[in-house]
Amino acid sequence: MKALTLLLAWTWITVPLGWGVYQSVQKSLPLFGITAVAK
Amino acid sequence: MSFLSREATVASPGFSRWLVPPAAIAVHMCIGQVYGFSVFKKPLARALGITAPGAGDWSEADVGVAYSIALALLGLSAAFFGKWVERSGPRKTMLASMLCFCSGLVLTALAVRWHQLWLLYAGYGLIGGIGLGLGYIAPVSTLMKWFPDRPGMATGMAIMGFGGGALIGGPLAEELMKCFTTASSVGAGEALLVMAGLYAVSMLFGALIVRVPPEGWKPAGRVPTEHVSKLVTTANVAVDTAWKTPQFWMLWVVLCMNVSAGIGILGQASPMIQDMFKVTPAAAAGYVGLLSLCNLGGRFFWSSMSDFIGRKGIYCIYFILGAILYASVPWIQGQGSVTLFVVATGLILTMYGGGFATIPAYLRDLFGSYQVGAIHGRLITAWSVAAILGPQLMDRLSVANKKVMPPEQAYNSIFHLMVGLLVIGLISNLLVRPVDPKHHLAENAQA
Repeated sequence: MKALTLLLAWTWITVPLGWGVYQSVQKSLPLFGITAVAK
Repeated sequence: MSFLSREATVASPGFSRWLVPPAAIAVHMCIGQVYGFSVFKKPLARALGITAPGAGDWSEADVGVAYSIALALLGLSAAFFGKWVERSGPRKTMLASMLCFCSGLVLTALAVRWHQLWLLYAGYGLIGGIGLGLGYIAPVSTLMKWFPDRPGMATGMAIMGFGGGALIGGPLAEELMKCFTTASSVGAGEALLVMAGLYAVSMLFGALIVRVPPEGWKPAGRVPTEHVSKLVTTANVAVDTAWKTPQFWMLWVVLCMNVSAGIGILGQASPMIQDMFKVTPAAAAGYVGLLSLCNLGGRFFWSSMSDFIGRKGIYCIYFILGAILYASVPWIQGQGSVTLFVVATGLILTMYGGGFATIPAYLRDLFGSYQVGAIHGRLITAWSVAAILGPQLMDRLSVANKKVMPPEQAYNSIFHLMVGLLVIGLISNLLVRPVDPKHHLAENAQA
């Protein structure tokens, strides 16, 4: 139960943070001359 | 005993302290939205004209004032409510932060609907700004109490969440506005309402799972070691005494200089790289994205490193390495190396983020953990000052220089000025000594 709560809590924050980081990486690709993947 | 009281949040035996960082980050990644507020500037400046600014529309500068008010209120409310935050505990404070911040977003949505500029300032700036201040300091002291063995890493995680909030808030608002845009609406009001709802849920989650450690709690297996650094105290200093000590003001200067030197670059990053290296606007936007990632990563990396190097040592690295990097940028520009420029400024931005994240642990080292949240709250006024000082210096100097020299050289004197700011910060940091024991609280005065 404790492990599940920990997993849920960390998932709760890593999913949106991961999405935000992904958005920034996408945005920074043109700097290296790499075309961002079309959405 | 109220559900919201500090007593109700005392952890029961067996509670894992690793549940506290997600609680802190859940709040910080919401209030960090303030850094992404700029995505609302253009839509709000054509709320009436829809496709282009129309008669009666606000200017982008008008909208930007709300952001400035919010940042000023962040510092002021953190300073003003710090003692209340310490007394009330993290749950009540996180809930108060959620109510202020999310109702600020709702009022902003109403301001867009009714087109009332004063309501935008009152909602996002004033009420939302108070939510920012409460939410910023509430989880930090709690985390340091749970991680006395790694306070730098603990605060680094929370404050990294604030940086992450900017990475989430901007794109989220853009996606939502795209969904809600119609022939008669720019979609900003609807986007703000949805964001208020999402952020309320996330902040409530943080408030529900947060716990404070029981009196005298220590991490299992932790053997207290002899102090390696004289700066780390086991005594405590009350906030009303702490802010009258020279150490507080030295750290105030340290934070102000570190933030001023970094925030100037962050605000001017896009035009700066375009002027200096003639890159495309898309590549410049990519550069801004990369700097945001450096800012985010530096918060966790450098703050965690401070647990091993020591707080004074890590700030010496920020200032000395930062000054060397700033001083080398004109040479890098002369070489025409975009890669070196990106690496140098990216490193500077990691240390800008690191400066934010390490300061609470530095305060704890000097003043103890008793009222460190409240002391941190008062020190955050240095951020508010730097948020004005850094961009103003950068804006004014670059505009003045562009009138008398080619744009690619217009930033060189600014980089030299940043070196000067970092040297002031370094001197202030080197002057930090342990707090005079006469300021320490007696054991029985800490109840």
